[in-house]
Amino acid sequence: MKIVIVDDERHVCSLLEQTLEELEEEEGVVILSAPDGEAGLALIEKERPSLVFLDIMMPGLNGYEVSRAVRQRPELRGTQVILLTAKGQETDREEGLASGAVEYVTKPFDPDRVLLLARKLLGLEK
Amino acid sequence: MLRAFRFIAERTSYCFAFVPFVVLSGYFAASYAFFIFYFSVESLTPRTMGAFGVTLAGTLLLCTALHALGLGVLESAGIRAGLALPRRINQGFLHFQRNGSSSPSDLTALLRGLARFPQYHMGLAVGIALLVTVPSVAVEYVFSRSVRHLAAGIAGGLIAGVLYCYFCYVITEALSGELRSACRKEIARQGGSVPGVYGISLQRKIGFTVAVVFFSMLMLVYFLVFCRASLVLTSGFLITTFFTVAVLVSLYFRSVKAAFDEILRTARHVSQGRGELLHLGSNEKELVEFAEHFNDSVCETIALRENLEVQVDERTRELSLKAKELAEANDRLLELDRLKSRFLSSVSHELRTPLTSILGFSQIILRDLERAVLPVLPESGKVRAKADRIGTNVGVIRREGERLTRLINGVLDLARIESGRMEWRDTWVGLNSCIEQAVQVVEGAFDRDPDVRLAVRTESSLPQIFADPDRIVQVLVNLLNNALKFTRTGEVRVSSGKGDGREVELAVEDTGPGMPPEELDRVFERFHQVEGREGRPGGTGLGLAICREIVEHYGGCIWAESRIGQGCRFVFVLPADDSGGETFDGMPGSSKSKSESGSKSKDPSSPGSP
Repeated sequence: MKIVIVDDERHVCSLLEQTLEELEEEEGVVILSAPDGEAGLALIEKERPSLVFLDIMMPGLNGYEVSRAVRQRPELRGTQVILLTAKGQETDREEGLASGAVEYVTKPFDPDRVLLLARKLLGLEK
Repeated sequence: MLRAFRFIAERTSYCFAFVPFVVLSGYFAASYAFFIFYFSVESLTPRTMGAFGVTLAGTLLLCTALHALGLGVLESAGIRAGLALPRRINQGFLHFQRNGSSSPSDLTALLRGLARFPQYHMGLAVGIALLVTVPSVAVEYVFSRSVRHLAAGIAGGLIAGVLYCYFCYVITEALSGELRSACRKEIARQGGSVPGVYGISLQRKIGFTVAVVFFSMLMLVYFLVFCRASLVLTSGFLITTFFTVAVLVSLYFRSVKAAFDEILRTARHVSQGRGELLHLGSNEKELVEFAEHFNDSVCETIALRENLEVQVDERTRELSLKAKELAEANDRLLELDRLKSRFLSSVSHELRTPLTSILGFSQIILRDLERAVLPVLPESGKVRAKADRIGTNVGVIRREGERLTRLINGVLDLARIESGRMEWRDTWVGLNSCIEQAVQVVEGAFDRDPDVRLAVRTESSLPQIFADPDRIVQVLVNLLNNALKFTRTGEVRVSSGKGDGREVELAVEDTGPGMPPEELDRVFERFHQVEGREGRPGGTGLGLAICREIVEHYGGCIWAESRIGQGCRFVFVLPADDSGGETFDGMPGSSKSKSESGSKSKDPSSPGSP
């Protein structure tokens, strides 16, 4: 089982990695990260993760575009996308969910809740 | 009469056209004088009668000839003594009538000539009267040798002379009115100034006319009562008098009527907005002066109107310039607004990203501390104390980070509301479900504080409101957090009810320290802190300001009620849909206490408890 984190902020990637560390240790989930949209999409296509944490405002391909691209690939049918963004307006949320994401989480986020969400979506609830 | 005058004037000369009328008036005057003379003397010898008749006929003929010669033939014969005025008038008339147009100065000269023309005819009449009277009276005296005849002859001659002068004046003035009016019109048309020339005043003219009429009446009475008079002669005198008076009065009233018709017509045109000037044919002083004043005011009105039009044009131009400037300013403002929104969006993003790290890592540190570090440390000792202190300090960082997040959210909310960019997802919503959601949000905070309990008292069957439920929940959460912040022990109670008429009312009460009356309004100001009022840390100073913005957006109002030591009550009312009934929105019943849902209550006497 794999999780891909796509965020241009290195610290946020690191924070997410540490947040999800528990899954890596306990469930053997592999956590990978990419610094922008293009690299993220390439990584997703290559690794076919079960879960993707995707930032929206990134240079190059933005989160919506990556999410839509993931939705359009039949081979990525099993990949669930969580948008994780600083954009908090209701319209942003709607656009995010319309692009194919299953969840829309605004920054700053509560690591415990994000972990719970990841467990739930991966079917690894305690 | 005018037609006949015009006919003759067009075929001979203008001044000659007056001759038949002047001669006719001479005949009337002479007849008048004859009657006076005849009634005054006892008898006339046939020779006297014959001589008188011959003299009269001869002089009448002479008059006509003189007129004719004087005004037409003499001129064409090159004899010009005393004929300067009629010659000038004739030339001016010819030039004006036949050549179409004349210069204003020529027309002014013609007008001045016409003004003097009645006097000229009067002078002529005096000469003719003398020519007729003196030989007639002399002949009668020679034959009769009677002083009475002489006196009667002189009196008759004088009366005839005066009447003849007057007739000449009136006839000349009446007949030349048309040309006078045309001249004035043409001068005004060419933009020249109409000269203020006039003859005898209206007052004197009216006075003299009345005097002539009265004199005729007196004479009639005198002849009938005191003199022997045959029926034929009396009838002759009556007819003469009647014709004299009728012609005079008719001429006179026609000229006055023409003047008033012209005044009325011009005034009507002026009142309809056509800047027309008054051009009277009258020669009377008062009427000429009236026309001058009238025309002055019309010119003034026209000038004012033109000035007004210029001003209106100018103002319109200024206004369109202003409108353009405003449109540009509006464009700039829109651009600024767009930039502001983008700036806010960027600020929001840029602030949230580092905050994500601060808050997230604080929590990770706390988690690691609790799970990995604290379990391996001894229960006491210096290292343990330091580790605990690290935990406490990181907790402070996390709480302050959360507060900063709330502050940013608050500033962004206020900015969005003010710039009209707030998303209002209005829908029909029941207040009690909003209360339920708000309670869910603040439940955790109340759970962490065992000394304060949360009571909910809602009224069922409340009308719905049309609003964004998230915003109503936001107001309630802000009020509840605010109440919790200032309440050490006791209860925070949220309640709903029907307000006055078509309103619903929500209230959040606490058992905190309360606040002085002067602070009740100011608490809704941004970043306002009530002096000496201590609460828990973590406030942003924006919560109540946002509450007010939201409530006022929906046309409601919010206020605070409080007394020192007796807690605070924050109330807001919102306009509701009074047509429908309420809605069951999940929290029916008159009262529901938070204690039912698990909160720890230390105050069982609270009205909110079951």
